[in-house]
Amino acid sequence: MALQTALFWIFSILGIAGGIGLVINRNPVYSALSLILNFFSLAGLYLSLQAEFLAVIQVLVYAGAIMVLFLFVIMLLNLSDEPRVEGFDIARGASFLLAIGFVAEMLIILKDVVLPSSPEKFTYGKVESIGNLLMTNYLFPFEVISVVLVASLIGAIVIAKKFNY
Amino acid sequence: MFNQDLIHIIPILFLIATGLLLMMLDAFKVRSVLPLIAGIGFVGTAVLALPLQEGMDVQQLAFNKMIFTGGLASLVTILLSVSGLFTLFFLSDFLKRQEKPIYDIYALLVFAVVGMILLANANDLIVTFIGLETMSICLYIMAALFKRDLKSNEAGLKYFLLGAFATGFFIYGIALIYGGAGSTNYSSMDFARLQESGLLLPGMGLILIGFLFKVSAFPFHAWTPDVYSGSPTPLAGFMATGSKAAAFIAFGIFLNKTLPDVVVNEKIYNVIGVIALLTMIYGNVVAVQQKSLKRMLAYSSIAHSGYVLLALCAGPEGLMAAVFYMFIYTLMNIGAFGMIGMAELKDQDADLDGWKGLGMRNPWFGAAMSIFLFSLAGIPPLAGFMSKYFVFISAIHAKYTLLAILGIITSVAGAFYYIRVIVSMFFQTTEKPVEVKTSNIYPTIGVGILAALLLLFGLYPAAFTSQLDHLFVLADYFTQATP
Repeated sequence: MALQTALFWIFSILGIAGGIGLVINRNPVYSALSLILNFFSLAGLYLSLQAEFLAVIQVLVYAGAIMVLFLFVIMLLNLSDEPRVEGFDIARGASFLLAIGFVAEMLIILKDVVLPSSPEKFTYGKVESIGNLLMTNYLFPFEVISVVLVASLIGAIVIAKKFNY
Repeated sequence: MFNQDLIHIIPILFLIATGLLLMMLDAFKVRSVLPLIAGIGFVGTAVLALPLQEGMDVQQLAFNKMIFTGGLASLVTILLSVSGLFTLFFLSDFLKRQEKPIYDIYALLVFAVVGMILLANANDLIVTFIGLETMSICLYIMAALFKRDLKSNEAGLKYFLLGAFATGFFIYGIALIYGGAGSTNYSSMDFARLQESGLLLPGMGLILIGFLFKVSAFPFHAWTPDVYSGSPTPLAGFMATGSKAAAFIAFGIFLNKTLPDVVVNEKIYNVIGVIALLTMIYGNVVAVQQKSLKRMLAYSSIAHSGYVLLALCAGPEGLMAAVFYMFIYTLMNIGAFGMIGMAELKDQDADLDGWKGLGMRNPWFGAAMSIFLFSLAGIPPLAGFMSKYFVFISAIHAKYTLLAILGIITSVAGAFYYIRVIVSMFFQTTEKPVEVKTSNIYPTIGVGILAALLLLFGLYPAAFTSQLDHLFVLADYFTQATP
């Protein structure tokens, strides 16, 4: 149990550090690398919750495929450092205040949340049980997700196609 | 049992098959028939959704309670197919005149309607989310369709970034609700546990933000004018009607399924009521100041969102009023956007100045546009009046009398900017007039059908409402509400 708690803290701190690094870095490549750190620590958290399938997918899809694509795009576009924002205007100040207010509000509410205790034996995280659920209870959403994929495929082609109008 | 489920979702399956067929035909360069096939797809979906079969007329659940079919769900399916169908009437001619032969758009239009049907008929937050994403992704592409047009680029990028952000709020809200209620399915949520856990309000708040963004309610409206004015005009009409209708119906179902079982529902209804009021006032006030016709209609669509939100405060009766409102709004707004598209030259914004005297030069065009605008303003005997009547009467029944009165006042004030367009068309002249030159007959047919429907719905509401009740087993709701 102690090991699990220790791992939780390590992964949480790493994840938050990755998130902060993503936002404050001026170099897009560093930002992308911080995001990978964040994804890996999330995968670690999933593992400690016995959601093995989710952890594997997190690493394969997000840290693997999506981030490699991100990095390729960043390097292809040859992006330089983000320009430092000078001065202060009312709109930015107001949105900053709103964001702070929103986070504070969520924290205050979530502080009092009482979550039901998790079952002793947790078996949903295995590939087998997820596959079972996908083919029984969640058959319909599982199948119609293909429409999203087809639609976004067409969309990507429309945007990327070479034509001059 | 499983076969039964498949029979229930035949309209959706038919539409998906149409979309795939369109993709294939485009790939094999059989392009002239694409609009026709898409049209057959929409008509077929609407016909299949009609309760022709035994047992299809009552609303029920299919696929482990994932999706509603029959009854109100059929009506909604027909509504959304109709919005796709009438967009088609204007689309092919518009693309031809703009000299932009883009054929992938027909498959996207069909898939967007599939997403809308899923969104509006979902009984599970996961299906709601999938529907929302299917619809949104297609709409982002539609906004950015003209790649060499800076305004279209701006519209697409803005819509995509803000939409993705709103989706983040929405999915976080679903996660919190799931954490509290132990299920994403409306039929098996544990509301007592949700309430106890304290996750109800944050989850609901985040989901509200997601929905309010999609329907462009007041604090989340900022994308609307830019996106609608940058998008290809007939598709802007589609965004303003179909996508909003689907989002509103999903929103209404969400409220009706969750709120009766929670203690704080009064508070949440009040929040929505206040947002409805702000949306009505903001949309109508800002619309008055617009010079561009598309921007004016965009702000007017914000104002109309306010009226529907007001209806959603009124519980199940309000949901019916909202469905009827969106039905009529779809007919008149696709017509109005389509006619603006008909008078639009290549790469030019539709400006109110150019429209001066258009009604005198082209009386039929002027008359049809006047029908749409009068109907949008809610002036009897047109259908727009009936739909507003249903909304306000349902709000009054739910004891939101003050809000209803304020809504009626803003609606009367809003009539000003619709009538200003009619005045310009018939009583003013200009140096640089626009001309209506369509390349084929379809837009004219579309305008004719839409205008005739609006007149018929307005003149003989009882004939239609009793049919609606009868066909879709709606417990005589519409018959009772008809004056």
